[in-house]
Amino acid sequence: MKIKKVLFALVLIIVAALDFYHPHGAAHEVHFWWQKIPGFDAIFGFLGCFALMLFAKKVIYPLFSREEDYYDR
Amino acid sequence: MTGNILPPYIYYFVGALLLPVIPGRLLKRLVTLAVPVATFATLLSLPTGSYDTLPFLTYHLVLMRVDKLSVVFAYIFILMSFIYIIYALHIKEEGEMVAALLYGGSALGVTFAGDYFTLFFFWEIMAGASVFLIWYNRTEASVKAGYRYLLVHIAGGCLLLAGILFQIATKHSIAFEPGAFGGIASYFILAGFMVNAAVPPLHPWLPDAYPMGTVTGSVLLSVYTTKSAVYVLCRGFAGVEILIWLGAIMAVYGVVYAFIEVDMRKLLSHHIISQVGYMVCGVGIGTELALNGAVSLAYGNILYKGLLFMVCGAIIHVTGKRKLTELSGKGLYKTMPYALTMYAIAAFSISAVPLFNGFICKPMVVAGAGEAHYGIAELLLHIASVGTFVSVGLKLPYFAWFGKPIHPHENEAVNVGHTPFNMRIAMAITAFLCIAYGIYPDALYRLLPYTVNFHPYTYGHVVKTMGMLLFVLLAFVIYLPKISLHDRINLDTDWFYRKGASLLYGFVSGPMDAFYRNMQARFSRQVDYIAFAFRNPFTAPSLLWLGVQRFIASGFGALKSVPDLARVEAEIQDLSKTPYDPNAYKSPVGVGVMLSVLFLAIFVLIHLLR
Repeated sequence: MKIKKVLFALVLIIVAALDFYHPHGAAHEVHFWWQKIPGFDAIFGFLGCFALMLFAKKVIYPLFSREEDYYDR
Repeated sequence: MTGNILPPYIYYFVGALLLPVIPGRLLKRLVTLAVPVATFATLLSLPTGSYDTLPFLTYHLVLMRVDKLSVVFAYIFILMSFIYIIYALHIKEEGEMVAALLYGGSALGVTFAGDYFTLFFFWEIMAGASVFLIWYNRTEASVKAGYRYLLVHIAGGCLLLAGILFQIATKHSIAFEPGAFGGIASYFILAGFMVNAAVPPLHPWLPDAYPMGTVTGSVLLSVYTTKSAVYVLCRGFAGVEILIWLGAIMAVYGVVYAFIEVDMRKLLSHHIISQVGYMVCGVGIGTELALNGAVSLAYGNILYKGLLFMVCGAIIHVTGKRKLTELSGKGLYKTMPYALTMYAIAAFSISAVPLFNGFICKPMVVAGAGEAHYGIAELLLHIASVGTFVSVGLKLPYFAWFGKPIHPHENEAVNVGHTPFNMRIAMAITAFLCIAYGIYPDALYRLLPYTVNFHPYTYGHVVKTMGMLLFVLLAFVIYLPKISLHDRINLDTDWFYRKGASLLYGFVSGPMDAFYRNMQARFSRQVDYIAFAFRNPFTAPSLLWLGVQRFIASGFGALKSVPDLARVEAEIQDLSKTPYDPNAYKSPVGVGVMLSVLFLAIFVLIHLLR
């Protein structure tokens, strides 16, 4: 189990690091300022995932969740 | 070449007509399989252009408009119906296959329609045929959901028809062409299209009805209605800005709802809304890149979303369970590894993992938003990608195949039968296509309406995508212990008509009914009194007048200067006792004779004196 965790961490670091390196001639179109931030997609994915899950759980779920027979009553 | 070839989708309708009378199951299956093959073969030989015109009133119906946009949708519709037929070969319900053929044929009819009347005709058949894929599930819930589905689509059809009539009134044309957006006709037509594309707030029919379909039928439902709506939006409303925002919002909306859903197919249905959101957004941007993105995403989505529905259908077929709360902790990874593999391919595709077909189409829409400088829309689509991977790529498979038991007291193992062979074949074909298009994108890019200048496999793109996906995975792993599933449903905008209907019913059966009864009782009292008064026509005027006085007296008795109620009652009693005597007021016969003789004499006199 520990090996898996270490491997996963290693892969994460490598992929995040790769975004700092741009091979010569690799065209990458930039339209917005945030696309220039290295590792933006990784950070966005990580934080966005939490934001979405918390939004669904803390806002949408308490507001709109009902018993299963809600419409049959 | 005009007007003398049959539209290729006629095979679907002929097939649907013949299927019930063909003897033998084997022959039936062969004929059904031949339908998409024959249609495809015919389509290959057709030239581009508009033909098969029919005169109708003072208009011309165009049954076939063949160009790159309609052909690419037709290809995937035909391909998916072929896969569906394989997936459904084991079912004994013949009616479902008939409905499926009609549904497929009418979706193709919509795709090739060159005018609004033809479009509307097939649009309505599509709604009427598809509802049977829900009803054949034969549960009370599916019958009810089917009715709601049908009502929503009939309402949507009415919006479309209203728009078409407005267009005829203003432009005197039924041609289905991209026109300047604006004007009442285009608003109504767009609203009609948006119902089928499940654009919020007109979307709740989709997650309401699709999970209620048969195991096989839901696969087909996930394909035709929404994607044919995307096609007509591409054709008629490319570049309409409001669609960008509606699309971007629905992309996020779908994943948020998908995240709190526990019914597998309902989760996927919410997710269809999210995926169609990307397409609607692409249509709204309207550039060549974005439109190519929308079309290719529709194509790719039909494959992987179909596969997701097939796998979840297989689980339901085998275990009889449809909710993650019932499946979690049942160890399905041991009993259904084949389904898990197929699911993984579909989930990687939908999450746009490199080498799978989502990667070659979804980023095209996002890049389209970037290229056109819609920053907010681009970020919304990004966050929807995150949600896609979490809800469809991680949450659903984790709880369906792995997970811990949610209801520990229900410890019985799920009844694991075996997946029919034909289902496995259908899943394998679709999974193969998902990978094949991912590895060789040009196979799809060649079919797109515009020349493709998009290269998915660049260094930066692959690295950024992988970075995002892996860090989403990290966030999910960290958050996983906190995820709890509950057997609950989530309200949506269908609340308005589902609860509204019972409110309306309550209003009609309560206050409205009481009002009606009250009015009826009052009027019948008056009628009774009039009948009572006219028992004696001679006293009737007096009795009626007394009745009016009594009405006033009983109503306003507290006021001064109104008739005294007791006196009026007594008079009525008195007067009504006078019996009707026909002879009492009868004049002697002689008077009448004398009068007539007199008048005759005057008449003669006048006549003679003139």
